[in-house]
Amino acid sequence: MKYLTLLFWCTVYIVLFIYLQYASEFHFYFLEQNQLFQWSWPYLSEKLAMPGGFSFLLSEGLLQFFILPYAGAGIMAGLLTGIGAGTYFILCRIAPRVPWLFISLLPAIGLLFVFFNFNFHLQGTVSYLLILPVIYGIIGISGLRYRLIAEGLSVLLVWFLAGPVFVLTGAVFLLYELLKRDPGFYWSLLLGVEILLIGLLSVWYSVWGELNFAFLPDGYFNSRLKPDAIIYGSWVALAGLILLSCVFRNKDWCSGKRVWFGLGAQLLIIGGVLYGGLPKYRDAKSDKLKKLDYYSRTGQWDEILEDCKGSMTNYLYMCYTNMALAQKGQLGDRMFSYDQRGVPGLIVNWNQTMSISVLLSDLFYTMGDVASAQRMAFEAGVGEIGEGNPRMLKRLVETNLIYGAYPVAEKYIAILENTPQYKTWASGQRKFLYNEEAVNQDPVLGFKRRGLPVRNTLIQMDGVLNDLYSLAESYPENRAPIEYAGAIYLLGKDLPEFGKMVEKYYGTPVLPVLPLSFQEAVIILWEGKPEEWERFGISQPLKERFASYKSQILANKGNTSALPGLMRRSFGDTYWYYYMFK
Amino acid sequence: MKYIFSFLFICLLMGCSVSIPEGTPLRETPEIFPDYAGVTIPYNIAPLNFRLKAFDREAIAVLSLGDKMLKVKGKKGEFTWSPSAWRSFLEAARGKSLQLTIYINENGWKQYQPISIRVAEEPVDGYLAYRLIEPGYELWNRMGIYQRELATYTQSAIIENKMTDDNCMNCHSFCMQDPEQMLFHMRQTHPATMLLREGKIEKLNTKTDQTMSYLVYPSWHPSGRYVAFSVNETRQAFHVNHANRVEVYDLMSDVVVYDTEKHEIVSSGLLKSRDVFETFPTFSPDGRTLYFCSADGRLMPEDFENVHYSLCSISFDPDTRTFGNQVDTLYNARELGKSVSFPRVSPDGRFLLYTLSGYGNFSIWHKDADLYMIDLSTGTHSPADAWNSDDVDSYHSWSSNSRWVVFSSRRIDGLYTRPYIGYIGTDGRLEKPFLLPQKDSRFYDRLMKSYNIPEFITGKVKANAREIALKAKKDKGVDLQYVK
Repeated sequence: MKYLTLLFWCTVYIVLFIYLQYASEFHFYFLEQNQLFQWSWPYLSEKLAMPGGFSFLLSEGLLQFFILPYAGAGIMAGLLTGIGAGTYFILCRIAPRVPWLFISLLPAIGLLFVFFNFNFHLQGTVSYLLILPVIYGIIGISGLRYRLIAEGLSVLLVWFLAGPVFVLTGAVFLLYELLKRDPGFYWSLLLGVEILLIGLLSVWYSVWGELNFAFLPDGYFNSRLKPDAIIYGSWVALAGLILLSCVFRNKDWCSGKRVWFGLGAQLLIIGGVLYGGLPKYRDAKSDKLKKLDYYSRTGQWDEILEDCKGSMTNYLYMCYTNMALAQKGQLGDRMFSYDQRGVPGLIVNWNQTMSISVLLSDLFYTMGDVASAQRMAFEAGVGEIGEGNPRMLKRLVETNLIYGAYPVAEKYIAILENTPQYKTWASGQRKFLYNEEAVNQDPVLGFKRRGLPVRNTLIQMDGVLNDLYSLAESYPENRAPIEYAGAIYLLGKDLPEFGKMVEKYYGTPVLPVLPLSFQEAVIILWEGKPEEWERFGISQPLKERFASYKSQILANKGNTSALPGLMRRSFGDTYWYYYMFK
Repeated sequence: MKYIFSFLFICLLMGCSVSIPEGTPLRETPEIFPDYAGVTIPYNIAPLNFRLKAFDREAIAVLSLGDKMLKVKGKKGEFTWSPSAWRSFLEAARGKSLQLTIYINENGWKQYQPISIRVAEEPVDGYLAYRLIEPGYELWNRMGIYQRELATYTQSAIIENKMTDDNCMNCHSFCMQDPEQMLFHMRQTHPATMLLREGKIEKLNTKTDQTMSYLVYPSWHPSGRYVAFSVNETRQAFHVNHANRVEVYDLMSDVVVYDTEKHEIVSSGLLKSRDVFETFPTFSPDGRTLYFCSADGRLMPEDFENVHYSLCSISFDPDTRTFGNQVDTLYNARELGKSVSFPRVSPDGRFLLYTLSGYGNFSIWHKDADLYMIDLSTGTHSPADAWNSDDVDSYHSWSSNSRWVVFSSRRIDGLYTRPYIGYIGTDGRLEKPFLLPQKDSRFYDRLMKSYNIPEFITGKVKANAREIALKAKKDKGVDLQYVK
């Protein structure tokens, strides 16, 4: 039986690992940026001194590995399997003649569901796992008096080490004692008083800001948001299972048909919960965004372009696509090879969330707008639900090096050097500190530094386009600003302003030749004036292609419903198609 | 057994005692962080722990006063004084200078030239209140208003925004450094001004139809009955390529006075002109003069670099709540071309300290911002050279005995504001300031928050944060009335 149990939990781990790796690979990478775990005694001691600090540190310590392939799935599967197994052993200790195998997975499933919500801190799962051996150990104490003392002390200890989960711990003990009804069991009501007292005093003395953060798993959720009811699922499940185990504690369900009936019923319940819950809570719709975010973070621009082929309905995907094109110097040439649906697909509006701040920081950095990239990196770090955002701290290092703000860059480097995952990168940046030559010669930092606008203004004082012009004029080698400026006009179908732009910049170092999409726009802007086409160097094949486009339009003009589809097949990658049909 | 204890006790004593080595004298003084060389400190300040900037091996620091000595062994170049020994040592050093000598073991013991630290006769106020917040930009996360006991390293929260639904809280202000009379604002969620006085908490809804905004920058009247405020339409923008990074400016602003007893706001046409930006009011200690900053209105933000604030004053009669008919100008920005912010008068009425920068009013973001002093007995202006640095030196407040000033400076890393405390003699002589000491000399390296609005207070704010938060969240608040 012992080996069967072991086999069962090993199987659970493997299934969970495979499922999580398959379903949440990019979710793990995304979550990793919600921590800034520092392996330094001042940091550790400061956190350890706070109620819940121990489990917070453990969770940050684990979260930092989520950036490594397979590590997230491995860790999360381990935590959830541990919670399942811990629950199983507790239930078996209370009611040893009941086959608890499947049903003991319920709390872990509850935590799996909330894991998909990135606003739920990993600390909630780690804390949950921490209390299970405590509960298991203490309910094994036979004498009521000693057990009650241990229960009382452990509630206090759990409060200090793991935070609000002390309420669940205390509630489980209380339930257990009330149902077990040993002589003198009513003393266990003091546990309820203890829970109330600890929670209320914690709020009174500002350990937690509100009662729900002290008494409920809300304390492990983004404090600015109201959590879904599912956050309480794992807590309710454990309490319910304890109740059930106490009811069945003297029953024998381990022999005869009852075993199979019991296990079958459990399997049915678990299957039903998973069947109903997974589609609801898995947040599959954010998968692609997280994947693109990871590719952007790691500079995998070809993967972004590969992933964004075909129709897109999300402006954020388009932002990533256009950013990838700009990174490859192909925005002006190939932007209409991908689905475009307007200006927000170039620069999405800032909604003050961490994820959009990160995207915009990447986007502005791509453009060469270092000031805005720095600002967004800072906002992302501040808006972060964890202790900091290492990815954006790296951006702050880079942008401050570009500006020559070395003391503050050094401060950030020193902090990153305390993080096991970013230490090497951070130390590698030290060579740039107070070394103008090293910065100037670096292909990225030097390039961005040379691209800083010569004339200072306030960002977007005269609109984003003027900022882009300023960047383009300051450093024409950086193609991104002028191509983004042109793309804004093209996607906005503002051809008169586009015309002014090319009139001003064509033939200058800012725009020595027109990218393909710009040429296509020039053709329809001056459709009746082919001499203008010559002036802007429109190539012969493009002229011929436009002639073909026109003739197809004329040939099918009576067929209005089929025309967009027909034209898309041959000309879906042109600005003409976008201008006319989108 | 008793022999074992005796042996352990002797070992402990031997471990504690530090013997001074014979060191080869070096010509230079050591480079330490924080820079305490030549500073003047109060005798009731927490130990000035420090580290050697470029040495992390065996070292000894010796603080000497005549034949009295306080010694400490360095740990990886970091020196931590015993708090009790430090306290008694400084008590004895009042009005005298200490010598700090550092010995390093680098292929044999070497001895740096000693550093001098002067201990002033006058104490500093017991506590410092400040807000801790990321130095930026539009968003915020966790923030709070804290108080630090200056004789120790103990910091406690007056209130943190986790108590009030993560809202923004700012502009804490005390009446004559009195911890019993305090106010601060809350913004976004539960927007109000919380006024704490005589053990009572009041929630004020400060927006009226006649004022352009909620009440903003405060300054208490010494009587505690009035508080002068500015009302501002403030915006923030970011530089494309400038060391200042951020620009905060007003589209318009006025100055008003709030009567805490009648819950009324009063003002004057001279403080509420349509074409003029008036801001940063502050009362004189006798309560009969209201100083403020005033600039000619400009088209904003286009003209942001051409806004220059003068330092002005107007008389105020606290009995009738009326203002004088004439505005005096102490610093004329039109003529002198720079811009004044944060005027603050010393409690003894002798000096007025202000920040001067190239333009605008939010000098905390201006690298050229420096502190300037007016001797009100002679009217002479002079830069506070002993306190200023190459970076931002801006917000400041006085101690209750007028001998100490705490001010925000970005001199360490150019971004994070840190509190520096400077001494001023009765004759106006300024002495080198010191960074607020911390137990761990690397504390500021890892702190990702700025010290915002450092204000001395004479004691601890005892109001309970939960009570304040409940008042803010549950109470309807008192609507203020503007009275013409």
